[in-house]
Amino acid sequence: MTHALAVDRALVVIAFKRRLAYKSGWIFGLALGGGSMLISLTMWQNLLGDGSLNGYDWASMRAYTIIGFIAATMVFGAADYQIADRILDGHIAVDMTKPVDFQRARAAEYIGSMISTAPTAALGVLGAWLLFDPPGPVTPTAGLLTALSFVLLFPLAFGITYLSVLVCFWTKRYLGIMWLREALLSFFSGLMIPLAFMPGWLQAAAWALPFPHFTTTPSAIYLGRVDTAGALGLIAAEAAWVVGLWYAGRLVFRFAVRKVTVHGG
Amino acid sequence: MPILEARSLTKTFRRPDKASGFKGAVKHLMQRKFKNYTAVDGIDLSIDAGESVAYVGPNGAGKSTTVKLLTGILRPSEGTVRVMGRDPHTERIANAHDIGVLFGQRTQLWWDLPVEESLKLLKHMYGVSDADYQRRIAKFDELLDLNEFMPALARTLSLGQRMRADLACALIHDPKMVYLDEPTIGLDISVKDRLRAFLRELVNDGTTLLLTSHDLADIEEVCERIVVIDKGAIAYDGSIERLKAHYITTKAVNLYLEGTADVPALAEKFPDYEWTAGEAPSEVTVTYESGRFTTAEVLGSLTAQLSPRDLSLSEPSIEDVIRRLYAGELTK
Amino acid sequence: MPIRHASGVYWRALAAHVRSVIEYPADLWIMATAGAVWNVLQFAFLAVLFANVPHIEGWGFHEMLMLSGLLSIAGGANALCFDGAWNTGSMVIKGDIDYRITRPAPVILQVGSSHIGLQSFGELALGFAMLVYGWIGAGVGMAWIPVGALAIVCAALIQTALVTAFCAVNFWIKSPMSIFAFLLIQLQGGAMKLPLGVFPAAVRVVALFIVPVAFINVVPVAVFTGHMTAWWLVGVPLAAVAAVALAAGVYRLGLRAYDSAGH
Ligand SMILES: Nc1ncnc2c1ncn2[C@@H]1O[C@H](COP(=O)(O)OP(=O)(O)OP(=O)(O)O)[C@@H](O)[C@H]1O
Ligand SMILES: [Mg+2]
Repeated sequence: MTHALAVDRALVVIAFKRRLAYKSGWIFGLALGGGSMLISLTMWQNLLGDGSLNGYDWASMRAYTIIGFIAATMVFGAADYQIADRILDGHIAVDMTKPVDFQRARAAEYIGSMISTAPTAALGVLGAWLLFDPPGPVTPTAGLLTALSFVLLFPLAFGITYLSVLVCFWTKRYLGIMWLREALLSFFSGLMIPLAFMPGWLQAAAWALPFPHFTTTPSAIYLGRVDTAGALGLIAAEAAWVVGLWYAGRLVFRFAVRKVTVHGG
Repeated sequence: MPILEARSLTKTFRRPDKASGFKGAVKHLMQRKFKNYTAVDGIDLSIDAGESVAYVGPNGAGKSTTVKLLTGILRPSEGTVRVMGRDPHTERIANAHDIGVLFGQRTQLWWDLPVEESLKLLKHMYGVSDADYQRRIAKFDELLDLNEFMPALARTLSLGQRMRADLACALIHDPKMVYLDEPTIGLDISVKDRLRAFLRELVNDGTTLLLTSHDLADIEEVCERIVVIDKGAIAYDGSIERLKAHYITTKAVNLYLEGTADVPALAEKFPDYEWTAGEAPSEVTVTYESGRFTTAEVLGSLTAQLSPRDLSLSEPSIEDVIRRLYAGELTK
Repeated sequence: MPIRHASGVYWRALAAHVRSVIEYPADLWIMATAGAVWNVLQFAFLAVLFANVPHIEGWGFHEMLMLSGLLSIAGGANALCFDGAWNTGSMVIKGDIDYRITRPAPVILQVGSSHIGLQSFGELALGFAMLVYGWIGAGVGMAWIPVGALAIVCAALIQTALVTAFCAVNFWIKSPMSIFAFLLIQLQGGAMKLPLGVFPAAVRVVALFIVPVAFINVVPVAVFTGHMTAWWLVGVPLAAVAAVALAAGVYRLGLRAYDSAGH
């Protein structure tokens, strides 16, 4: 293992442990995510009954909602605040003197904190499974590809979060930026309502953004709304966003860092 | 009649008794165990109107906790407090009009507002008339140079500026009883001097003052009475003069000899004095009881027999007394 | 007199914050935009949903818009007028309640007015827009307007009081995050945008009689649109009084348990 990788691993582990020790966080995440999932399921059950809408029946909607829950738990439970705070309170000046790449180190920490949401996600899924008995993936391949699309969510969530957090170089507070990002993500991911319900132009707008991969991509693969080739295409698009956002982050950071002297100290 | 009276005042905090780390946290969650910690332990204190009282003690002695009990911030676990006949916790609002409080560690300024806005908000809260407000601000400005940072946001102030602004906040309603918990912490010498002069003036005007500080110069310059507290209990309560007269019973001379000082040999030669080695090998400190010998006598015998290169007298300070009080060497 | 003094203190603090916000507008814009975007997307959600289904439990698009609108107004009013309550937890931990206890004004008002949630401007604007649009679209008569105004005031009061009471739990569970209040508004935000009828009886009982969030938006809108009898309106001011009493009571108990911080 190279030195840089060892540093990454250490940062992941530290962030993971730090979040895990914060036990009320788990219970909270479970209550929040679980509660939202139940509300959503109640609504869809009422709307769908025995019929179906836009190709979703009650069975597939159960799987859809649970997938949305996992994605939401992963991305809303991560420690985005820490990066923002470092920029806002000028700590970033200290970070820049350290012999590690800033973006890479923050990515390691962020992903560590995302991993720490695993107990919440696992418990929530277990509970939902027992209560609602959702259908399995259409094929074993689809199941595997769904898992792959979830794995890619780690760097993708970081990419989006990091880019939005960098806006803090120009503001005094982070809260508004966070809300804006979360609002866009909730809507355009299909978390609030599946993209298939939207008019064509809105769907096109959503697919022009990285957000659909947070619910629509994994659920479409899982439920067999796309075939294997389509699934691979979606995953390729997701991977492209990961790479693109990573370099966009680098670019914006280089530009923003000129502001450090203003904030710092 | 005393303006402030506390009887067997006691405060016990409940502290979670848990092992560190994740395991400890889980265990604590299961069987919530707590340990009681008594921070203030049966204090009796009575302060007359117009007195200026220094409240000192080592770190963690319970000074700030006492102040919080006296101001009604905390509820006593046992005992009673009366400030102008009122219980500061249950009659909070009535009491608030008569007291001024400053915690040097913390600010009461509204963080994201200009200093002036904070003062104006307090003016209205305390119902201070415009004329009184103008007069007091003018006076604070004269003594503390307030106007220099009145329009600045509180979060942009330096420590010294913040403390001066906070002092103005604590006194804007001309309280009769003022509690200052470490008002000089972190200040430079000149700001400290101005603050002390300001406090002396306050006391001269008849305000009753309770002051805690680790800087004994604050206390000597501002206060007449000193209350020493240790481990939550009062170790000394009396005038500073009496404290000095009672406990400062020795004086000392520092000698700078030619060559190295042989401390044991010197101690044998002059058994009436106490000898201790100084900072450099040629330095030595001679301590003697001020009741038994005069300084002239001591100097005479020493210079005659040792012919030192130089010497200096060290004035014993209240600091030594307090240090010995803290160390438990002295009793009431 | 004490009440006049207390409210004077409260409004002055709020006004001072508004002034300072206007002087530094960058964050105001971002926050107000965030508040507005949330509501625009809420609107979009309903529009998309009702392009696919005719109604939920007999409730149509415009009626559901009124639900969302009134809820946003309540949340916006809370953020505008009493956002400081969210800081209760961190103030308790840091000992920042200390000074407020030594001042001659109610602590709860001093804490509540210590901050302004800038998103409220966006929330209020869009919330009113949704309510009015829904009101007209649903064909609710003009005669209901005075009752609507009262419902808005009560909604703001209930929302603020419940959030404050839940934030005050942090007097006992020492944590900087107001987890309970956050949970309250998140789950409320999800559930109270739907008609009560979709939920099982237990949920309805909780929302009506235990944590009376239903009286904020669901009950008044249901009455205006004929889904509930007008008698339910009596519950709206009652819930407001109960919620305010609850908040004041919890805060008072919290101050008795307050331990300050160790310095
Ligand atoms: N809120 C609290 N909860 C638990 N323990 C506390 C609390 N406040 C104070 N203590 C404990 O009570 C003791 C006395 O604290 P206090 O702050 O009164 O000391 P102090 O004399 O002011 O010390 P210093 O000179 O360091 O300011 C300390 O051991 C402290 O840890
Ligand atoms: Mg102290």
